[in-house]
Amino acid sequence: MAVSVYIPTPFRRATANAARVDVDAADVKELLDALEGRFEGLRGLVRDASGQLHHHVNLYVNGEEIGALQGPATRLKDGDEISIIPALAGGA
Amino acid sequence: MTPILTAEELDTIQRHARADYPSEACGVLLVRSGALGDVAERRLLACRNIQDELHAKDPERFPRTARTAYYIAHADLLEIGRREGEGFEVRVIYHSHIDAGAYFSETDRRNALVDGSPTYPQATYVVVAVADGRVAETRAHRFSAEGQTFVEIPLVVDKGSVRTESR
Repeated sequence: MAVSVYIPTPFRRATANAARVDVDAADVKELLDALEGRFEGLRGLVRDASGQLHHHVNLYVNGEEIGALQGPATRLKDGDEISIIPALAGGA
Repeated sequence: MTPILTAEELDTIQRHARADYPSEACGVLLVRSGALGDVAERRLLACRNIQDELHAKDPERFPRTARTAYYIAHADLLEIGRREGEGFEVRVIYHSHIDAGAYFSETDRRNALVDGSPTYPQATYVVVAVADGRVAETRAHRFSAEGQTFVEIPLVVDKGSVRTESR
């Protein structure tokens, strides 16, 4: 499935400044594998060493956070818009 | 020193912090540099803190409530992403502390780093301390490449012709 992935500014150092990348993937996990395969520098930024999405990185499929979908198993279809956006969080 | 906020922006941020008390308020300032000689475009985006919703749904992963933590709503994060696509950059990330100081906490520090590097190295983190519903102090923090840590910096506010430090 050909989908379009939005790369946030903080991660563009890993994608030669590309803000949008087209990827062929059937689900979110495959998409991340493909992205990390293509851009070595993304390794460690989006997922940790055990392959889990970092807790401070959010992934959206057509504006829906994947936690509210099927997580990494979320299926993708042609034309889907994926956004990777670091969480903004903190506290006292 | 380049001003971090205009007086109006600081006032808006402090009003937001007071209005949301006793929950932490949060938001960002997005700036798009103009063409040579043009004035930069500034957009202050007051965001929604969804920490209470996250805590209600998954208290193990999100043990804190909005009284001691903030998490910017997904819709706002997507809006920030859209604005970045239009050439804006995240210049200020602000939030409030409830009945506590305007320090940059360990939680703030941890959440501002991705894989050990600052997520937004160019951003200034503004923290507003609200005590009993009133703004007690406002401080600014920034990542220092030299010290590889966040340090407090003067919160320089542009008051039109006069530039002052604000507390």
